[in-house]
Amino acid sequence: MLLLGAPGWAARTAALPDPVETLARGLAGPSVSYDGTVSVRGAKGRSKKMRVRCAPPACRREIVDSKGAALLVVVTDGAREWVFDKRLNKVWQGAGPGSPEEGKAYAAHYRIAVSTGGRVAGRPSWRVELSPKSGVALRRRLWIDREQGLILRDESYLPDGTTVSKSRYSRVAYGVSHDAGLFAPDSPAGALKAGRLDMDDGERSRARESSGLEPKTPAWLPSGYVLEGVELVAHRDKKIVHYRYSDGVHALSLFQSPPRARLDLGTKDRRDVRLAAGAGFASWSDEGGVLGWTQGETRLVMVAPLGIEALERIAESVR
Amino acid sequence: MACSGFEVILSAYADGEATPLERRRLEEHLAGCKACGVRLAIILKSKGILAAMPAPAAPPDLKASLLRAAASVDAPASGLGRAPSRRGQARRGLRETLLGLWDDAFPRYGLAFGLAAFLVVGVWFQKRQDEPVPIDLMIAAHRQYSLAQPLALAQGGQPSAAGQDQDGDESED
Repeated sequence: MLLLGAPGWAARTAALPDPVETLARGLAGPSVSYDGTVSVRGAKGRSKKMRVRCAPPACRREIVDSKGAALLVVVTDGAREWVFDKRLNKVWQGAGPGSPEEGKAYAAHYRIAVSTGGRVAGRPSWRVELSPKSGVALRRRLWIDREQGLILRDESYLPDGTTVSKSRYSRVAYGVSHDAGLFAPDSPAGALKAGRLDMDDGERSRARESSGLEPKTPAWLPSGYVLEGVELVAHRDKKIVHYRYSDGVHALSLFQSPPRARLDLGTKDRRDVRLAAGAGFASWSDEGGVLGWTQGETRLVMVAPLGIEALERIAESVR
Repeated sequence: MACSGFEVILSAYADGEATPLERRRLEEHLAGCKACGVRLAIILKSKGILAAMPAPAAPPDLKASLLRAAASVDAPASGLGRAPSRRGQARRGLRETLLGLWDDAFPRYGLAFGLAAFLVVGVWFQKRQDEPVPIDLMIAAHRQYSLAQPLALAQGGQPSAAGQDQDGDESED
């Protein structure tokens, strides 16, 4: 009886692809054009709908309201990225996110396993499980289109199992033709313009004068993130600069502390990391991953619902 | 006993008021200490000079000024005119002893004491400067921001109902 079932079982297990190659394919994305609808759920369960139309390497993502009208638009041509917020009538532009991390970089941080993932948006998928080797970073699950390599579903969890972020395609079609104008940046007349990740001179001066610190900001962030503002957090006689970034769904914070300020981590789990920028630590909180490090005489701490590989890439880009 | 311990006895000895024990100890000390011998000689010579000087006449209003000074001193709670108690005498003796020790020690140890005090203050100040910044403060600031970020508000994000993001078939093989 067992032997009768063996060929089917053997066929299923033999068909599993290499986990790192499967992940790499998903990170690279499809090579054909596609059009889909995604549900995204971020902090505190807020859910948003997104329309995605891509003709690789160009791509357009729109967060839409209940009527399908675009509220936030992200357009990239692969090298540059524009983000338009309709409510603020503001455009952020700057360098695009560039090439994704290679699968090998993930292998350094995660144990990667692949299994059959069922169908998502009607498409057969592989499920890739990323378990952090450190135990203090976010865990991820990706469902990757078996034929086209699109990440159809993406879920992140804290070490205690709490969901941090979810996104899933509810509909996707491949090989569609798009109007080239879709991938031209939206810059309506009168829109405010800002650097995607840059502080303007006024913001920089204010941050410097208020805190006594020379501002340090990242040169790289995942696609869609923009610098929304800079605030100060006071602690006794110290002023901590709080750089605020968002992609319309998630928030990312970077904190800069005065020189010689020691960080009190409380009783959180942590592990030491070594960045090119300096010594640091990785930890986690209800808000996602936490990465702290020393760069010269500055102490920096980042909080974001991102995996450790993304946090480290951001940290390495801070100037 | 060190030379400093004999200074008081030297004076009493020169006045003929040292006790037999004090006299014997001092004489034993003087047998081996030239410095104290010199001190004793100075005291005795001073006594001789003072004794040779004519006694100054008392000012005519000495009695009146002394009585005025006495009247201005606060009377002890136990009553005016009473002789100091043995406890009071002991306290005064202790105070004088401590002051004597201070007068003796300060020239030698004052610099070290000052340096130590400076170091203590310096360490305290440095500790205050190095007071740790709790990371929970930063996480709270991030949480506040993530709940109120303008881009999210602009999109009017709604809490996800159960199953709301379960569009499409989801069967696992």
